Amino acid sequence: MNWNNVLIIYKKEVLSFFKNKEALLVMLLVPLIIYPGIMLVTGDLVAGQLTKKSKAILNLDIVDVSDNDSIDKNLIGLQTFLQDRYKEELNVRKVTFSIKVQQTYKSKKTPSLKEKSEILLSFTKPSNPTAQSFGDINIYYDSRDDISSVAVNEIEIAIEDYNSTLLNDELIKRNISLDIINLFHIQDFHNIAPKGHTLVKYGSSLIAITLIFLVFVSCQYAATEVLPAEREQNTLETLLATPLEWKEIIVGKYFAIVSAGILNAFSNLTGIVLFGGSIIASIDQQSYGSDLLTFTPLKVFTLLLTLIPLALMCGSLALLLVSFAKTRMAASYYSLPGMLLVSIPAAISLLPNTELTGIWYSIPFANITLYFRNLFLGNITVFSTIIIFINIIGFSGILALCSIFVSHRKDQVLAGGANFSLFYRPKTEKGSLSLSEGTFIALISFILFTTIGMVLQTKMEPWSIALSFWGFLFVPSLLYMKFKRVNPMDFLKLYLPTATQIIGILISLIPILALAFIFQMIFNTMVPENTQSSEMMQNLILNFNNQYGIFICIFIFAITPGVTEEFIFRGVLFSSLKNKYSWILVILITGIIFAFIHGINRAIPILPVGIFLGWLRYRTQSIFSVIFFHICFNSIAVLQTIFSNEIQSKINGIAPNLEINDIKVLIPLVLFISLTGPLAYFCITKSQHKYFNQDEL
Amino acid sequence: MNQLDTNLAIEIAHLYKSFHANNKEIKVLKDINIKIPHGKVFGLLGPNGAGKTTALRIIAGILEPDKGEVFINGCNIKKNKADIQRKIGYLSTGTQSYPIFTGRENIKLFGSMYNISKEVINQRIKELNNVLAFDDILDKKCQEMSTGQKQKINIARTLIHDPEFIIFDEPSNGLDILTSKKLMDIIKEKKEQGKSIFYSTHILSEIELIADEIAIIYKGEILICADKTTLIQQTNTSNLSEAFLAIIEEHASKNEDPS
Repeated sequence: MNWNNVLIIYKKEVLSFFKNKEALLVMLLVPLIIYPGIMLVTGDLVAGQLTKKSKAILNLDIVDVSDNDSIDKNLIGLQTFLQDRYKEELNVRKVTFSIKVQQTYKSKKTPSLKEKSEILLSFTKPSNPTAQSFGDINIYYDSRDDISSVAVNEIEIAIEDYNSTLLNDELIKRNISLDIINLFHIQDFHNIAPKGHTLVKYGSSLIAITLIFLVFVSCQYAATEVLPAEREQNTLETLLATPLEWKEIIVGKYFAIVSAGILNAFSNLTGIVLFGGSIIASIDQQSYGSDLLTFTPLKVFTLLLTLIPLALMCGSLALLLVSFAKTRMAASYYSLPGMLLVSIPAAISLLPNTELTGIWYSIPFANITLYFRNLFLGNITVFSTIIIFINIIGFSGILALCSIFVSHRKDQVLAGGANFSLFYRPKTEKGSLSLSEGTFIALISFILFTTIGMVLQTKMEPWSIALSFWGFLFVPSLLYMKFKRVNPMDFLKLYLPTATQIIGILISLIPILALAFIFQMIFNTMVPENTQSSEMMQNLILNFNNQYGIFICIFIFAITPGVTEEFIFRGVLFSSLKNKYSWILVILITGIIFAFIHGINRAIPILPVGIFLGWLRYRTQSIFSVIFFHICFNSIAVLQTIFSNEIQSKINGIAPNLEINDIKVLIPLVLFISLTGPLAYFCITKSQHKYFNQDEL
Repeated sequence: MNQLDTNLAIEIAHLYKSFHANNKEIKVLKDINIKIPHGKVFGLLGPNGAGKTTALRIIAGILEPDKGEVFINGCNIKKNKADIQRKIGYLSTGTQSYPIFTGRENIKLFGSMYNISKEVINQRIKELNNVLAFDDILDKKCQEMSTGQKQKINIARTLIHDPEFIIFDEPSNGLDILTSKKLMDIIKEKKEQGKSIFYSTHILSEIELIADEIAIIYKGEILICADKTTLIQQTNTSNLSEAFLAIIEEHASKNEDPS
């Protein structure tokens, strides 16, 4: 790429942008008008809230309890249960549990927490307890601490779990049914953060959403001017006839769009800094402390720095959308789904208890909104900053590359004055989706999966997780293949592997699992915070196992991802990429996308698995072999989680002092890989099914 | 096709192109073969929708053919696209100038894309002004110009890098007689300088005036390729327009005949 040419296009776009004075004025002035408005409204709400009397009185249900001792016993039981359950969290998350037994009845005094991260469970003993009585627990926490907010939800679940164990024990002991229903009952959550804090938090979310939305709209406007407008004015062909390459033209235009986004973001920032802190902070300076919505130089600097990835992301999405448009009018239609794609995930930050942890890191626009909100609240860490930067820049890069590709295709088609061939239905059956068709439908699937699918997954129900996979990774491509009359046999390689190959695949599980483990170990030592998300996954699996049994677990976590992910990665994407690129490149591309779609924190351990799956698909020429491997691989992980205690005790029996992260573990692992690896290779490559095409190697 | 003739300015071999429109496949170009020697004016004649513009777009490197090769000066355009495009000046109805920029800004912008220094650009603008006489409109925004004025800017923009190969696709559209005359003068002058010109139009009188060789394209096929006199002799007609009609009618009747 000749950067001089990129610069010519960039300068041209910026110049024509500055010539459009009205648009420029709107872009710069709107933020300066909007923010005082938001601030005034939020400020008003906060002020109103502050004058209200606190209504949170500790109401206690008094019931007759005959057996006083059992309540005391259960209380100690609950304490041990919680402490056992959160033993690791106590170290990792710095959540301190102190369970106090309050004797005073109808206490109106709010207990004080020593630290923001502390969570206090206050239990009040009923004066005359009966067997059916509730032991009421009040939970005190501080929502200014993000982890506490999440931990409170977990405590709620834990107490329910404990209740069911108590219930079970009681039923067994008495050999009778339901005369005890609930032993502990969470009466209320008491957020002891200053009353206005929640509203300030929503205010920050609102500012973050407005910021992102306005930047996206500016980018969308700029993108419309740089691409569809050129098509409309018949000037794009003039550019195409020059020695400038297509990618140089698009990259130059992309940077111009990003500049427009940054310019608008900068104007936004001015609005926020000028009007943001002052109004809200003036209401109750003492309660919020000086760090809230006031702008220190470091905060402003971080904000300025973060505007770049924000503009990159909004710009790439806008460019991709307008790449499909022939006229300015069409571009405005295309911008609507873009606005939804931006604002729906962004609006998630308004939901209570949504924090920038786990899954939210990997959802574009949700992550950056949450990050901005935390930035305004002064709650960011270096880790979250790095992850956000990598995530956003990676995501924008992929979208920008897609735009180069899509707009080029579109122009080839437009130059002939024809319809977009992606929606052309052939008369006869054909063997394969073309490169553009395959990547198009895969991209649509990924976008649906990472937006709506991920939101569905947060419901943490088996049906929602299954639906997110089957509904977004599987069904759209299947329908599109039907529409394009693609022969699934040829395209997806629906051939059964031979028995020897199956044995080879089973053997290959050992070295690949070991390799993934080594990568995981390396990554964990590099980024210690990472353990959080894998624990979330483990808890989910254990929870499902308890609720629905092991088969549902295997179906949700092994079969579903095995079939759907392989269908899209080693099926649709692999076969269509193969139409143009070499095997090595296709294996690498699908492997890398496969790794990153699993979330940035799991990408590195999954990368060798993705590459191996690509190789397996290439060498066996069968999609069933990769599906089989994937299901086995995931099943092992699921079973390992479910039976982790048993496995751990077995390991302790054999080697009592072995730490799982010990470097000594590496030696047998490397030995395993070097022994089983060649054997698996031999089995997989030795035999071939009868449809195997030697020419494709 | 494999033996490259560097004596030829433009060589097109077995060019195919089809589009999808309204769920139908339309074959726009069917096996087009053209050879144009250096320093000649080649006229491509055909009715609307014959595939003229598509063929020219492929030659200019804007569109990729489904099949077939284009060689400019013996180089395959697929392999050295940027280098070849540097030597081509391409003008069509689809290649307009930026309406928000002035004429001078447009010309300078495109000059910079061909890596020409500012001094040379200013010099060339002066030279082109001698022929086109666009002094009065140079600093006007293109969106405020009339069609003819815009076309003057377009012509200047196309010739700013002094291209070796000039491709004109219906350049006289919207031009008055005076400016058309000037355009013809420019083409003649360029031909004298040894440049090769590919000129497509549906206006017979223009072709008659300047073309050394004429090809007639109809429904994606080249029906005949010869110089003017041969064309008229072959069809036993008295002038070019009669010859054109005769050839097209003959082709149409051939296609109707099932044998």
